[in-house]
Amino acid sequence: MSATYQYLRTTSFLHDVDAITKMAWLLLLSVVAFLLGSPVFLLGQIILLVLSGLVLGRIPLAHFVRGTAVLWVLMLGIFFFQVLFQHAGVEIIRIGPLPINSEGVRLGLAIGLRIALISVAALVFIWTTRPRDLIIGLVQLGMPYRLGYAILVAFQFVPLLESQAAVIRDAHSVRGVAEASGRIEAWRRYMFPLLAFGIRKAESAAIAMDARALGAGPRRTFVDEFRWSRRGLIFLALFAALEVGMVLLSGITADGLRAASSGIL
Amino acid sequence: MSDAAVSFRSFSCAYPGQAEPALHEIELDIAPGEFVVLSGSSGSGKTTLANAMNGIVQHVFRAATAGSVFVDGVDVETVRVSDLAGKVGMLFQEPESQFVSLYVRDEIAFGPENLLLPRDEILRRMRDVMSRIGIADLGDRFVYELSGGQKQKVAIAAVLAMEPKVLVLDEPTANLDPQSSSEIWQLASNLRDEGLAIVAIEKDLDEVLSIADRLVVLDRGRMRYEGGPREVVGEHGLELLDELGLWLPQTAEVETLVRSRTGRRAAYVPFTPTEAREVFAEYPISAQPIPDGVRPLPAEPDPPLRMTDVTHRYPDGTLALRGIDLTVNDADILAICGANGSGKTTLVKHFVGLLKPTLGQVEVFGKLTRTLSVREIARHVGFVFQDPEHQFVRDTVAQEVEFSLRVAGVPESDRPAQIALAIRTLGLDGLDDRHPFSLSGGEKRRLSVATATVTHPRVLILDEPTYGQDRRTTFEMMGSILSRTGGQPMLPGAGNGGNGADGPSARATILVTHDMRLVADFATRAVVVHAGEVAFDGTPAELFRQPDLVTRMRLAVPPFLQFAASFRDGEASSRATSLTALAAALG
Repeated sequence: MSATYQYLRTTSFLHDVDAITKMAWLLLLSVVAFLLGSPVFLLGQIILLVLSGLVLGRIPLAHFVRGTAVLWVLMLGIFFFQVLFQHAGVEIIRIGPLPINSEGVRLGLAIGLRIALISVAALVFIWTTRPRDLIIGLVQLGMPYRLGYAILVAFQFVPLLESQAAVIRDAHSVRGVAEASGRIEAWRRYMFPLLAFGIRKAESAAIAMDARALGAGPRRTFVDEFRWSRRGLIFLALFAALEVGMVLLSGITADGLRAASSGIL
Repeated sequence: MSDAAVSFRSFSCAYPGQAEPALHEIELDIAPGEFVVLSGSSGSGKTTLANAMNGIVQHVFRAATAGSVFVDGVDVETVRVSDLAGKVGMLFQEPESQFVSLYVRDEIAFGPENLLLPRDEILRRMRDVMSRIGIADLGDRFVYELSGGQKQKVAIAAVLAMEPKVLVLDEPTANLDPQSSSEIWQLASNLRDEGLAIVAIEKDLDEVLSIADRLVVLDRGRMRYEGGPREVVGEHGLELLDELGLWLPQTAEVETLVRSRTGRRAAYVPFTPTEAREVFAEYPISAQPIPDGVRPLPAEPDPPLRMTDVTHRYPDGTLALRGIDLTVNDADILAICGANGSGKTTLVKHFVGLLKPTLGQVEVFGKLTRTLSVREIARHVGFVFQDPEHQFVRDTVAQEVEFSLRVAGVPESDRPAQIALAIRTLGLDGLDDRHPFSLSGGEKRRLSVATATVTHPRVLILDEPTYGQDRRTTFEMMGSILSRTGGQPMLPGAGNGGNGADGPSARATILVTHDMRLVADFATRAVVVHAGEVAFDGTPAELFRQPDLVTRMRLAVPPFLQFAASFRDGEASSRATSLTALAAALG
C-alpha cells in the first residue's frame, strides 16, 4: 500500500503540535510563498522547511524524496513554460530561434519554487497530522460534525479502495484479461467491480453510522477534547516572526507583488 | 408490550419495486437473556428481519410495512433509526464495512459519543467493555491491521458500549479461522448470560446451535419452523439439510442421515461430540470397511507444481513465507489450511506467478515462474478468487465462459458446445444472457468456477470455495470440481468431463480453506501453514489425529471426527473419512 501521502506514525515535536496550529502554520507558509518574489529566498524557505520536517517532524529523508518526486517534474514543466513564453526583461541567451529572457528565468523559478514550497509544507502537515485530530479540532471550533465524519470516512476509503483494486487486478490478470482485450477495455472491466465495491461500501458505511446513532442530536460528545498545544503556539509565533523578517528582507516590492499577481494563475 | 426485548406482531414488509413481500406475517417474541438463531437459505429474509429491528427497513429502505415491531416497548415505526441505536446493537456481516474510525478507541467511543453521554461515562464504558471483550490492549491500534477475529471483537465492543438490549449478529464468524469463530460464539453466549437478548443470523448452524435457546427458520419470507433447536432439528432435520441447504451441527447431521436410512430415532439430537457418544452408545457400527479414499499417494516423477526453499518478503519488510518446500502432485486434492494471516494466500499466489519468491524457486510444469508471465501460467493453472465478482470481465454469463475458452485458444467453432456443457454442469441453465453481477451469491460462485474449469486446467486453485455457500450447492459444486480429477473416491465413475482432449489424466486441485469439514470430506492431502512455514503435510486423517497440533495452528478437528475418535475407542475413526461415510456405517 502506498503510504507516501498518508500520516506517518511516529512521535515528534511536530506530531505533538495540535492540528489547528499546524493548519495555521500551513496557511502562513502559503501566504509567505506569495509574498516572496525572490527565488533565492524561496529556495531558502524550502530548505528551512525540509530541515524542520527532518528534525522537528522526524520524517525520513527517503519519504521526502518519494513524496516530492511528482512535484519536481511539475516544477520543471512550469519553469520551462515560463522561460519559453515570457519575453520581458533582457535577453540572456538565444537557443536557435528562441530567446531566453532574464524575466522568464526569474518568473519560472519563482512560480515553480512557490508551488514547491506550498506542496512541501502540505506534505509535512499530512505526514505529521492525523486526519481525526484535524476533524475533531475543526468540529469543536464550529464545523458541523456530520460533515466532519463524512470527510473522515472518505479518508478511510482510500486505503480500502487501494487494496481492493490490487485484488481485482490480480483476479483479472489470472484470467488473461490484458491479452484478450484492449487496454481501454481492460480498464473499463477493472473499474466496474471497483465501483460496485465503492457504492456498496458507501451504503453500508452510511447504514452502520445510522445504526450507531450518528445524527441523534444537534451535538455530540467527543471523548478527546481539542486542546491548543502551548509549545505549538510558541513554535508558530517564532516561525511567524522569522517569516516577517524574511519577507521584509526580500522586500515586498512592487515587483514582488506584480509577480505574485501575474504568477500563479 | 409484555416484557419482551423484541416483538414482531404480524409484521410484513415489501421493498419498493418488488412484488414479493420480503417478510410475511412474522409473529415472534424474543425475551431478554434469550439466544435466538435466525436461519434460512439465501434470500429467505433473515437480514431483512434483523434490519426491521433497528428501523433500517422502515426508515432507510422505506419498505411498505404492515403489522408492527416493538423493541424494548417502543414501536420501531414511530422513532428514528438513531433513537433505536441505543437499544439494538447491530453487527453487520463484514466488520470492515461498519468501521467508522481508523483507531480502535475512536471506534468504540463513536456510538456513546453520538448518544451525547458525558465524557466520563463514555470512558468508563470503554474501559469496561474492552476488558470484558478481551481487547483492553488494542485501544491505540489501527482497526485495519487487526486480525479477523480481533476486528469482529472490536465491532462487538463498539456496539456493546451503547448498552443495547438486543445484540444482532449477522454471520459474525463467516471469515474467521475455527478458533476465532469459537471465541466469538463463546463471547455471545456469555453476553446472553448477562441478560442481553442475542439474535444470530446464520446459514451454518454447526457451532451455534449448541449454545442457542431457540431456532427460527425462515423460508421465502415466512417463518417455517420455530422452537427449541433440538426439537426443530429432530423433527425437520432432513428438510433443513436437503431442502433448505443449511449446515447442521455435524453430529446432528449424522443422526439425521442415520435416522432417515434406518428409521431409528436417537434419544435426542446430539449437537456435540460428547452428546453423540452418549446417544449412539448402543448403535452398531458396520463391520464393512468404509471405502477409504484417503491414501498417501506416491510422489510423481513430473509434478505440476514445486516450491523449493521459498522465502517471500513483502516490500514493507513482512516475512510472509520462510523456507517452504512443497510439491503438488497431479493426483492431489490438496487442502491448504492455516489461521488468518498464516501465509497460505501468499503461498498459493506463488503458484500462478502473482507473487515471485524473494529467495528460492517455484516451478510450474518444470519451468521457473520467474521466467513466465501470469497469463502464460494461467493457461494451465486456474485460480478462483474468494469473491467471484472480482473475476468477472464480460457482460453475460455465456460471454464470461466464452472468454476463458478464447484466452485458452480453443477454436471458435468448438466453443458453443463447451459453453453449454459448462453452464449445465454448474447448474446455471437459463442464465446465459444474464449479467454476472446480477446473479445470486451462489450462482456467482458457480459461474466463477465454470470460467476456471471449462478450459480443463491441469491445476485448479480455489480460495475459500464454500464461503457463503449452503450445503446443497457446496456438495454440487465440489462434485463438479472434483469430477475433473478422474476416479475420485467421492464420485465413483465420475466422467472425465468436457471434450476429454487430454484423456482422463488426474488433475491437481488446491483448496485454500478454513472449513475443516471440507478438508475432511474432500481433500486427499492437507498442508497446514503456520507463521510462514509448512507445519504439517499429510492426509487429513493424520492431521485430525493430532488434536494438539490442530489447536496450536488455530484450526479445529471437525466435530464428527472428534466423535468418531472417541467412539468405542476410536473404532470408527480410522475409517470415517467423511461425514457421509460415518453416517452410512452407523446404526
